[in-house]
Amino acid sequence: LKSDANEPINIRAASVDANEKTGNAVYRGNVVMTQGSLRLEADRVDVAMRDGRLDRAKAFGKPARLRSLADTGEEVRAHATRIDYRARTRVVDLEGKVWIKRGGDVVTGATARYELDTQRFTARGANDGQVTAVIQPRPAETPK
Amino acid sequence: MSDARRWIAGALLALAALGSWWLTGSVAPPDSTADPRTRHDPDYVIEQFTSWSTNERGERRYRLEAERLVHYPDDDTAHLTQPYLVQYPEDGGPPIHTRAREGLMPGDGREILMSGDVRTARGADPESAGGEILTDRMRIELDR
Repeated sequence: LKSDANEPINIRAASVDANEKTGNAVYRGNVVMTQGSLRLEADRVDVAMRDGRLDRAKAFGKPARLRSLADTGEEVRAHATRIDYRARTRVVDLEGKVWIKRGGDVVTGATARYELDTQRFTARGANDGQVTAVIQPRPAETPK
Repeated sequence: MSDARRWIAGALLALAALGSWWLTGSVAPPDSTADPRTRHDPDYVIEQFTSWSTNERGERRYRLEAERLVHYPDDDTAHLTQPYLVQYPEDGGPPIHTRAREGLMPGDGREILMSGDVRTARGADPESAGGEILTDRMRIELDR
């Protein structure tokens, strides 16, 4: 949700390395980060703060998992080896065994970029390899 | 007594003497006069400990409290019970409060290792909604 950026950030992890000077921190071990409807689960998350706000979260996992709600109410789920979430632009870059599910649609590929607010995503296969997409037909509108 | 027997008796006596010498050496009480600097003994204990740190402009940077601080000269570490760290961000953002069961601070004071039910809370401000971190271990590099 667009309002996610104004929600508190809650993080649970087994261990944390925090640098007060830079404001950056590395979270390790069953990391769960939530901010509003956004939920990120991974083995490790590198968080960068700027002016006291979340700037960027890079998640690494086997796979790392992201879930978020679009303003339309549709749920978006994504898995990848690496998920790079830029909080200010609400853009997510995914890399490695990418799987994205939005409503009934599923896309897989090597890399993908997903814009949470516009719900636009571009996916690319490895070395111009295959991207698979299963797009559910929109329910036909009954003629008036 | 024939020579052979005399030799055997002598050998047995020597063996017994050697054994008792070894025995006394291995069960002798530790030497209480050993150098205290090599032993891990505290040199001072502070109850209800509070310390402040300021930057070069005299602005407070952080406050560290603990129910108990025990200092060990051999490795120059300070062990803290129920440490409570308040960090005051330089950008004037809300203070960051961190509590834990135990804390460990090396001599140079550049970092503090918090362990056991570590909980960090950051208040909200116009810029950010704040948030909370829950973990078992947290290493905080202090901006000294």
